[in-house]
Amino acid sequence: MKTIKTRLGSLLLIGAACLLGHVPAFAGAAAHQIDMEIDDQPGYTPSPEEENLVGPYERQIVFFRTTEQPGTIVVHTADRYLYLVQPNNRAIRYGIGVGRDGFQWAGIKNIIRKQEWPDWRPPPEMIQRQPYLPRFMAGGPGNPMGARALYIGGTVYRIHGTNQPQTIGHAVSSGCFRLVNGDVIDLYGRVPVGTKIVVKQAADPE
Amino acid sequence: MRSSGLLRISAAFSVIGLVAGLAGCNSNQQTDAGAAVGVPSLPSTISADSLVGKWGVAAYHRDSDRPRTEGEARRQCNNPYVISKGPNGGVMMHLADQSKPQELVTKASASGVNYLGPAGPAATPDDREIVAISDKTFTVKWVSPDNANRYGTMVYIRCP
Repeated sequence: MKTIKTRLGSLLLIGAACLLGHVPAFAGAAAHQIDMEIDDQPGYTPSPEEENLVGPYERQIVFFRTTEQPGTIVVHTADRYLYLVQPNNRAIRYGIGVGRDGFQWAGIKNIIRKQEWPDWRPPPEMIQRQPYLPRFMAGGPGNPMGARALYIGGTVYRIHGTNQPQTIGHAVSSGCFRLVNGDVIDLYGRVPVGTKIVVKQAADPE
Repeated sequence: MRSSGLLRISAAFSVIGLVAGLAGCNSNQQTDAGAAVGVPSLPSTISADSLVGKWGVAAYHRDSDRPRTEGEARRQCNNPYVISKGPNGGVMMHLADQSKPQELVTKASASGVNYLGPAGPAATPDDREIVAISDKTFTVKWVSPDNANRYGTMVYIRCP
């Protein structure tokens, strides 16, 4: 087991239902278990180099066999991938951060709202620990919720960006799916409100 | 009585500091924001008592977000930030990233900028600049660029 412990001092916000803590995570692509302990970094703006994912989590077109219609979003939580289904057994694959152990979920839902530069509201337990935190932080660069958000109907979860690219590939959230800002902007531009989203723990067996 | 005595002592040291600075003919004009260790403080025109109470708190980074941030701060009164009176005439508040409150004072720089922070020089990294204040609201910006980046400009709206 490989252990990464990244304690980033100051902490502030973390997106409502979707932020972090210290958590066990499963890096599917790396095929080993990872513990990541990390706090949010409100106000931190990653460099372009940091946001430029390489390797399996880099956005790419892949072969993807599914019965879902093109335009459907499919999440494989254990693998840390989000797929946007394309015609001809293809999909655009994005690396994601997922819910930590006990905060993962599965289901078939729809995107009900889209938001550029979403606002961030620290959850009550965070306010309790850090009473000085603003109860609301307007969206913008450096906001933990990132550049775009896609709200998943019937849940408190969303697909959103992040200012912590290093958390992609890890289980760090409270159930939301996070992408680097470049990827969430790309996805945001491709999917309309009403898009079907299928969340699975893993790919179906062949 | 004790607080007024402290204020007088503080003011006296401030004046000494100002005179020393002038006598040194320092050609590098020190600005409030750029001060690494602060500037001599003077009594503030803002009473610490005016900050005591319950406040809805919200923050923004872009000026265009200020109006709706004010509205959000107003809506946060169900989970207010409480500022109480300190034992020495200041107010009990948290510094950035500190889990326990401590006594902070209002103070001013020679250029007339008001700050909220620990007693001592003004415009230190632990301070917040009070950029606007009225009976019902006040707005602060952190002096430390790191704190300012993380916490943004914070708006406090007095709760009923």
